[in-house]
Amino acid sequence: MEGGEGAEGSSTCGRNWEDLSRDVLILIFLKLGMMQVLTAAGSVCRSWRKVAKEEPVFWRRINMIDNRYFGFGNWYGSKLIHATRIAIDRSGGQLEEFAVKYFADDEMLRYLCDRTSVLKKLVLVSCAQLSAEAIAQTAKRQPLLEEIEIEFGPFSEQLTEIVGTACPCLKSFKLNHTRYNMPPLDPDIEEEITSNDDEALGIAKTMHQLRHLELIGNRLTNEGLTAILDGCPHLETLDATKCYYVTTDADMYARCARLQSVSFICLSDYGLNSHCDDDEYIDELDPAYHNYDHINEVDPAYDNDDHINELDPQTINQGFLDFVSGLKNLFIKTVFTAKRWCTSQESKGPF
Amino acid sequence: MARSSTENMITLMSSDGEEFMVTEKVARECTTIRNMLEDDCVITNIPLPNVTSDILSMVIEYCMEHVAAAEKAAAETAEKGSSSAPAAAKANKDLEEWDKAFMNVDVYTLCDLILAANYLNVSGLLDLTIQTAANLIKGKSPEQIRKTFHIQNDLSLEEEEKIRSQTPWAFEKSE
Repeated sequence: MEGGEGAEGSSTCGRNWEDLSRDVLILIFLKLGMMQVLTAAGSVCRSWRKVAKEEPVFWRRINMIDNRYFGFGNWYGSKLIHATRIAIDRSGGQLEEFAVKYFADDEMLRYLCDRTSVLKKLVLVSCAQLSAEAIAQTAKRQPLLEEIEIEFGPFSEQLTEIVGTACPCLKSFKLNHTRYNMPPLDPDIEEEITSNDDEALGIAKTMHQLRHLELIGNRLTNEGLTAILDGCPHLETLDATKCYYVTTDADMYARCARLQSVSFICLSDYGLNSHCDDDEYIDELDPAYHNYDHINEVDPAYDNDDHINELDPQTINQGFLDFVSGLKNLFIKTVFTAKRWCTSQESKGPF
Repeated sequence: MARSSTENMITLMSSDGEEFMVTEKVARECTTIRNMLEDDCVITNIPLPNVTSDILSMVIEYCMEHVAAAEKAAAETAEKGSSSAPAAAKANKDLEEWDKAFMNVDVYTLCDLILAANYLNVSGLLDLTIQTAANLIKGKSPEQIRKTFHIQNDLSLEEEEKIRSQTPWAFEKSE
């Protein structure tokens, strides 16, 4: 702990940092970022403290995603929650953006909603303690929300419909899971994960103003996706990566043709026909999706040859044709599978 | 820097009465002065009662350097038809290095430069000085910040006790 009694001031030249005008101090504090203003800079002297406490400009956006502070030195857990609450208090009902990673819980969202109702952007990443009910309640109490991003959050089949109904201005919606990021298991094995279009249908039914949609690792099928494309006429970008129940056939691509960008990388039905087989779409993919991280998340069970041989040759043939047409864009998993198929068929493929 | 004889010269007068002759182009780097010139185009002598001569000479040095860099880049572009990316990147880097060296000043001078840049509205210099000040604050405890900037702690014991009880972590280093 610091002494806190203060250094003897030696500012005899009349050029005092404590006398900096409010405008200038605001500029400096804006460069510091929220946490610095909340902590050290806001406790230096009266004039600095006044600016830090009373200028709502610092507190319109609370961003606790950049967790340099999380688990770093003394910055963790209750202190972060405490600091976030003070930031919410200081926003004076003007809070427009709220982004938290890890430590947001139901109580914090309630605290937020009791103090502001003009939120435009809500981002909740990996908040394990959060319930779907709390997110639904927040949406109901923040009708101006335009952007919602929930990553690895709670799951509820009705959530999208509730959120969409409560927030008619919603333009960007991201609901990303990792739980469902593996291809469906062998149909002979009892499936633990099944397809589910409830979330997709909720979006299609309510979020008609949507411009940007991310549903990474969702369990939706072509039916859900078609409903979204019909229900969201203004949609510009769609990311349905790791949605293994979506079959990206020619019909689906035709439906997506009006979008500015669309991302699918999936392996449905064990076949090879579900990769991105259209250069046009591939070129618009985010470069991040070209990395092979996805591969590592594919179930190793798919590497065994047994069920490859069980596949319907028709599916494989069709798949193989698609595969060749989109060769340069394929990702390794598909290459491996196809290689094996080529070897087993003693076929002279392009390898 | 090269000066064409047709270029208008402006005289800037510091608070302590010193006169600085600069080209109109350099003077126009200060938005405050540019606005004055646009309001009254025959003005040639501008008193700046809020800026001392030592600080004004630094502001002018900064503006001249940046005008010269911009002119050099424009000339190269005109010569070659298009600017080459590596050359432009190098010029930018050189200017950044110059800025960095220019910011090697004590905190009092930095404070004056911030005030002058704010008053004269030199956006590049204001951004540079503000960022320099922010860098000096980052990662420090309140006590370390006071020492760095020679700020007197005028918080009463009661106020400080209040901050401490409400936000005990506020007195720790924030990074």
